[in-house]
Amino acid sequence: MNHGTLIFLGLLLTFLGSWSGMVLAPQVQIGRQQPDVQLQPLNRPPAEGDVGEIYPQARAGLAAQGREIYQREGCYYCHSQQISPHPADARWTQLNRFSVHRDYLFDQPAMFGVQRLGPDLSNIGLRQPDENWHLVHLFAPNAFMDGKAGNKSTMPPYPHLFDYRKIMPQGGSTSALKLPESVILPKQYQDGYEVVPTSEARALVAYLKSLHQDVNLFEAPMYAPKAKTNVVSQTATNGAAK
Amino acid sequence: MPASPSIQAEVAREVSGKSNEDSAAKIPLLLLSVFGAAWFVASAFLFFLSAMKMHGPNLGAAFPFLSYGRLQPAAMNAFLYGFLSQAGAALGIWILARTGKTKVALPAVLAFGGVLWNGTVLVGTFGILAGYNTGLPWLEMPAGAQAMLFVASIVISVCGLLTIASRTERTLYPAAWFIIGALLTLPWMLGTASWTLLGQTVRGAVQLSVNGWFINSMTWLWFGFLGLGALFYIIPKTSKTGLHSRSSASFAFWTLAILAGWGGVHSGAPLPRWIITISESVNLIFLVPIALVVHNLWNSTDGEAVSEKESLSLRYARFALTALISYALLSVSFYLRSRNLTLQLTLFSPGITFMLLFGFVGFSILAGYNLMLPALLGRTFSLGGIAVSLVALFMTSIPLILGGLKQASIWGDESKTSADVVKGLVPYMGMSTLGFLTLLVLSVLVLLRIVRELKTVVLEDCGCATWASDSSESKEKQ
Repeated sequence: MNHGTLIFLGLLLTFLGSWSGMVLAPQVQIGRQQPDVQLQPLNRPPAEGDVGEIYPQARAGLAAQGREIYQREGCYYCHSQQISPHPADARWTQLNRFSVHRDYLFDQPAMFGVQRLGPDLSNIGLRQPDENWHLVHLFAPNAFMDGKAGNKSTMPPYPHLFDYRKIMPQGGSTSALKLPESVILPKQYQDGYEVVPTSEARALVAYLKSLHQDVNLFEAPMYAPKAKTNVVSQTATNGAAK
Repeated sequence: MPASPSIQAEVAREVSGKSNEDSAAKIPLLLLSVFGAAWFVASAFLFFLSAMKMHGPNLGAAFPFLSYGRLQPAAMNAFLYGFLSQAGAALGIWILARTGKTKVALPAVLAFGGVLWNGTVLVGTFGILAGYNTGLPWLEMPAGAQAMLFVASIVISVCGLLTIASRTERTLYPAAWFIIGALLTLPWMLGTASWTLLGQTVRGAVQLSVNGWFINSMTWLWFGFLGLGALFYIIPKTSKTGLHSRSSASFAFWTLAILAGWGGVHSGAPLPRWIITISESVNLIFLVPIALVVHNLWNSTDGEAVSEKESLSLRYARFALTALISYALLSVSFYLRSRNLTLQLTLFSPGITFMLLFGFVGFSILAGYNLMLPALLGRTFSLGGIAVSLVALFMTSIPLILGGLKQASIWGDESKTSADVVKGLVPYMGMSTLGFLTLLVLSVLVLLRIVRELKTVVLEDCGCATWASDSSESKEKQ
């Protein structure tokens, strides 16, 4: 093996081989899939005349902006967005089907996650639909942890997504966070101040609420969900955070 | 097996100190080496900060660039492209010139490539910290920086390939095969992945397949081949016994080249089953060429190194081989489907990745630095730090691997909550944080040693050493 040309050609062939197998072939097989129509979310019983919805739908408005915040802050380093066929995944995500290619058709880039230092978020829009909960969680991740049991979140707070505002004499802002008692504000903001989410915080929450994979797809067999009864269905677009 | 005559001659030349270093190549090779060491410090510092965030998430919370999600990818990119790539490229090109008995081609262009590479990694790392993250693992630097990295990789690769093309020694040593392979494929991988993923030519879960292909190809065809190229040069050279088997090296080279791109998909990925099955199978088959390489090189380490720096290189090389086979054995258990479904997104994966990247590639580079830098600077010294390196390796990768196992067991337990996962990981994260602190200490020691030697050479070259000593003597007299 003393000829550089031989090494060059051999490597080119091996490179093209793996490229064909791992890039070209998946693109040919599934790359051109289209959204499915008339799909009924499993957690929502069909009403009369209900023709279901198109799934997935491209995110728009606030949710699309929120995706950029999610990407910017590197949330995917601790949170995955992929449900494997392992039964434990169904329990953690409260959704009894695994993720497939079609779930990510409009995610560019799709952030599948690197580690699971925090929970998987594939279905967070269904598991936790409360906007205030998400906002408080971003402001003070330990707010909902049982500190007495030694439970502590490793998630960093994102104070730059919030503003402290002086409460006006006519009353506080309607968009101010409803903070639980466990959250203690910095000393200088304890009297007469409220915490108001910025548009970025609202966008991020809109994105989180848009995450759900609760549609029965042909390629992803799904069985009866164990989702909470109070779960509210969200449409895939879900742009408008209220 | 006795050493080949050419290796013996090379060894004799090295030992007698009459090695005729290519003076024009010193600047670009030193530039890449010194900046590589500087990026080692920067990445270790960022790794340490991100590990600290696991214990004190409120630490620096007012500064967005200090959040874990920004620090961790910045650290990883600085480590991959700042340290390993740059130091590995310098070492690789130096080895190509040595084994080809020629001079480094286009040294000025290589220096330009080095400056471009460093500028790009700097912009890219700051870009990630500033929030311009592309969201694609190992390709997180902003798209513009990725494009510049691609250009810089072409410049550096062309210089390396022209060097070996102008060789006077017609025999291509196994070390050269691996380094040629690395230099050839780097621009292909960076270009293809950037075009496909950042150019948004694929969508949906195909992105996961492409990203896995890119990460696995980079791991083996770039970092792995650079590490192997270094070891195939260092071990026969320093142990004075020659290479145990050239045919075994050839088989391992082609097997790794064929398999490299196929193994980057995890068992639970939202991709067609056939891709996952191929990926799992390839990851298991990987054990064969790795075992062959380790057997081949280990049997080549029987001789006796004759100088301190060579002895240190050989020790680094042996530990690199140990890390490589440890990685291979651990990854076999990792890639079995039943295990992979539970371990794939745990700390186990970064644990074994770090064992491979730092334990194998990093140690191979440090082994090479102990030979290359004294030769380039014309001074006899060794970097030392092998004990610190080992502590850093064990304390970073082992806790992550054990933590991953713990994480998987909690994850599979129906009675546990996500708070239990975090609580269960705290002791392991604490250990790995100390490991990253040790890594930082090691990187600083390596950089300081290089800078000290470099400073001495510069002072000697400009005649300032005499002036400096005269000046200090006169001060003492006063």
